[in-house]
Amino acid sequence: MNKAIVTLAAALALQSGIALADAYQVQNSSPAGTYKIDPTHSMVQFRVGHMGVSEFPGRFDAISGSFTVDAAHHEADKVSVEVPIDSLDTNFDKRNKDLLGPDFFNAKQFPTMTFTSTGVKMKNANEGTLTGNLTLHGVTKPVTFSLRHVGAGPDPWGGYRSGYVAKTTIRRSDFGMNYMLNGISDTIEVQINIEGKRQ
Amino acid sequence: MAPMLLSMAGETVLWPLAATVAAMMFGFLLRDARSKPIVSTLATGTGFLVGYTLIYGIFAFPPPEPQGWLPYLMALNFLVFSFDDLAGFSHRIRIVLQGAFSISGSVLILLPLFKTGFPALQLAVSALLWFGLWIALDGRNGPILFLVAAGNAIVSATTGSTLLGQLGGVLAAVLGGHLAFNFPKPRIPLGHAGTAVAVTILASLMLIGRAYAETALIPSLLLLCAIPADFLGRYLGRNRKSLEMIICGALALIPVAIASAIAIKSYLSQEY
Repeated sequence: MNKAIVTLAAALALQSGIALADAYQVQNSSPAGTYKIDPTHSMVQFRVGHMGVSEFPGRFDAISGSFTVDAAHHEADKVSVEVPIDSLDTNFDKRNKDLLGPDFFNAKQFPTMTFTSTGVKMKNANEGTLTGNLTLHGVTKPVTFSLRHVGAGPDPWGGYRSGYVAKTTIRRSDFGMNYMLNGISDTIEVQINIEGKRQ
Repeated sequence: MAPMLLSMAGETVLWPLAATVAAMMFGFLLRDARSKPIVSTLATGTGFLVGYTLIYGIFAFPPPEPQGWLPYLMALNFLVFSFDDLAGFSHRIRIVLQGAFSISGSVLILLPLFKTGFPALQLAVSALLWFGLWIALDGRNGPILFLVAAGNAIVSATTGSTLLGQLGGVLAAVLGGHLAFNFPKPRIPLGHAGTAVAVTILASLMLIGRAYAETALIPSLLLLCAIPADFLGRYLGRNRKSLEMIICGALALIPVAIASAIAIKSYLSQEY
């Protein structure tokens, strides 16, 4: 009887240990290195006010670029991102067409949106600000994102990954997108989720 | 009506029409018949500029987007073809200028696409259609320009771009106001300059719509089928101006109505 109880207790302890090891956890290894953005785990999302009654989300599905992190000297960090405008998706074809046309993005004339960093300031290990030049609709303006480092560490395929979330608010009129400001808000919340694979 | 729709109606129809009618009133005060087409052209240009400013409002040079060329193309056409109305170009010079302006207008509008390749076929077709539209409607005061402009506004707004549809609506409102002053007989005619300005705006909007907003092709081509109504109207009207205009309008309305119906049906199939 005692032997059975001991065996059961051992089995439960082992299962708990395995479960603990399997639980999702942030990897806190060093993010230092140069990374190529993994487009399948990265995305640009935005949220815009609609008719003064709601906030509507949209996203750009394609993204490419790279980032370099020097954990000891963040002022040397670099980020470069390129987003094809026609990867826009708002879950409705007609609205996508309207947004990609001359009313807003004019994707035929301005097919890409780019961001190139000019400075990174970290206030602690995981949080800081990312400043750089955003080129959208043929207009380049300085933009500052709040930056959060999510984690870094090895992946199951022998690689090494690191990820960030960057958020900012822009005014579309600053980028020459002035149409229908009485129906679609001027301010747009932008969030970029990036995962990079170390080179 | 929602405030946003009221605002759009004011920008697109009310204010441009008011500006056109106000400018056209000066035409009645003029005794010099040669100056009337200039006033008429100024009224057309003023009305469109009022709508353009309220809706788009970008006057940068060089323009950041193709629709930004509209004020400059209008001004150039006004200057050159007002001289034609006053002094009278020979037929050959007028045709050469119309051809040159059709080609250069098409190039300017398609210029941003040259970065990704030379759109030779698109450029050739658009310049040819622009030129054809101009030749067919040069100096004409009938309802055809108004109907095609109104149809283009509907087709653009429903299958391409709301912005281009609104600008097309401005042109239709302006030409509608002009038509009211010239029915049944031309009192303050458009002349060469007036049709140059109106055709340039119309052709530019149609080309921008097709090249940048993928405006539906079939309804756009159907709109151009309204042009021969002018020749038929002239033939069947037998020199009676009012009858000529009614026949022109009735015949032109058929392809315009079909094009508009196709575009609206397509829009309603996936309404917001």
